[in-house]
Amino acid sequence: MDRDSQLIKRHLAGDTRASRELIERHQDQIYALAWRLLGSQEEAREATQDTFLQALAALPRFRGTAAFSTWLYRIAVNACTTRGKKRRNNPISLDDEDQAVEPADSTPSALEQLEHHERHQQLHRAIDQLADPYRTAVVLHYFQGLSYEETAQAMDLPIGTVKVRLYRAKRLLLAKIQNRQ
Amino acid sequence: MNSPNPDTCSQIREQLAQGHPTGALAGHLTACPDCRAFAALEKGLLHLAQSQPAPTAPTGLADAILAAPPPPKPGADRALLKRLAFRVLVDPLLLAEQGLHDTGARMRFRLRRHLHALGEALGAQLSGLAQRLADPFVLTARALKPSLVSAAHYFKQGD
Repeated sequence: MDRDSQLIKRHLAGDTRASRELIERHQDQIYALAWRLLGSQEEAREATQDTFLQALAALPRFRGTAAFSTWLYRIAVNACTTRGKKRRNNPISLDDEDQAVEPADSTPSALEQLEHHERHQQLHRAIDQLADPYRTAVVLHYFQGLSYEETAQAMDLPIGTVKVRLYRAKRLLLAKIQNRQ
Repeated sequence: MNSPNPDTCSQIREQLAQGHPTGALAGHLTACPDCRAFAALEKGLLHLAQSQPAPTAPTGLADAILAAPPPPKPGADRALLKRLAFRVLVDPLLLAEQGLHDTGARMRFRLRRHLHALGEALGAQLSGLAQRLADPFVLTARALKPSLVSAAHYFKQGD
């Protein structure tokens, strides 16, 4: 039995020290995800708090078919999506963004500069402008380091959809960066 | 310049995304600016992710979580249950009518997801039920597909 499973068992038996350890083991990952998706420390703190409150309340129904951390990520993604929707009046839909995709004009000199540090800001801004479903996939896979399978579980999507979403996100990023050159 | 071969490009980009490049990669990248752009972006994303220190949770967050009142339990809201039950039944049939090539996989996925949501609302685990229902459900929907397509065709003619 791994450490998370032991702590869950003790939490369910009413051991608050186990609840604390469970939170402390995962709070940095969840806070980092929320901060990257919401872009605000205050929102990230609240989303992290929502995530753990929901998770602790739902733990009796956690069956362990996925890792606890992946299950937690799924709750966090939903909490961030809810907060993101409340914040924006006119969210960009996936369909709108799809229509805006144009094949990137791949001028090597411009794109190869992405390898250099000075282009990081540009890439960062382009990621921030992606529609939520694309940005969430990029953040989970590249920044939180989740595999395709874990990203799919965290987003509650089939793995094929996640791969397509990441591919489209990259095409969008290339198009956005290219348009700024 | 156009990419040499779309199939090869697709494989190359999969390799780039998986981080398992083969010997053929370098040669292809020399000839294909599109894939070169993807390779540069892949590197850029990985480098950006590695160069950014992950923010850490603020001090006292665990205390705040443990001190907060638990969220209200999701009640078995009748409207929500009716909506979920309707979607469980109707969504796969709509998919079947659309005649998507991956109807079976999509139907299984949707059925599992909707039953999961229904289970959450009821406070029960319905995953096992979804597992048992998936195949008969797909078979039934497929059997109904010709009738649905005929009906759609009939109504379109009547417009």
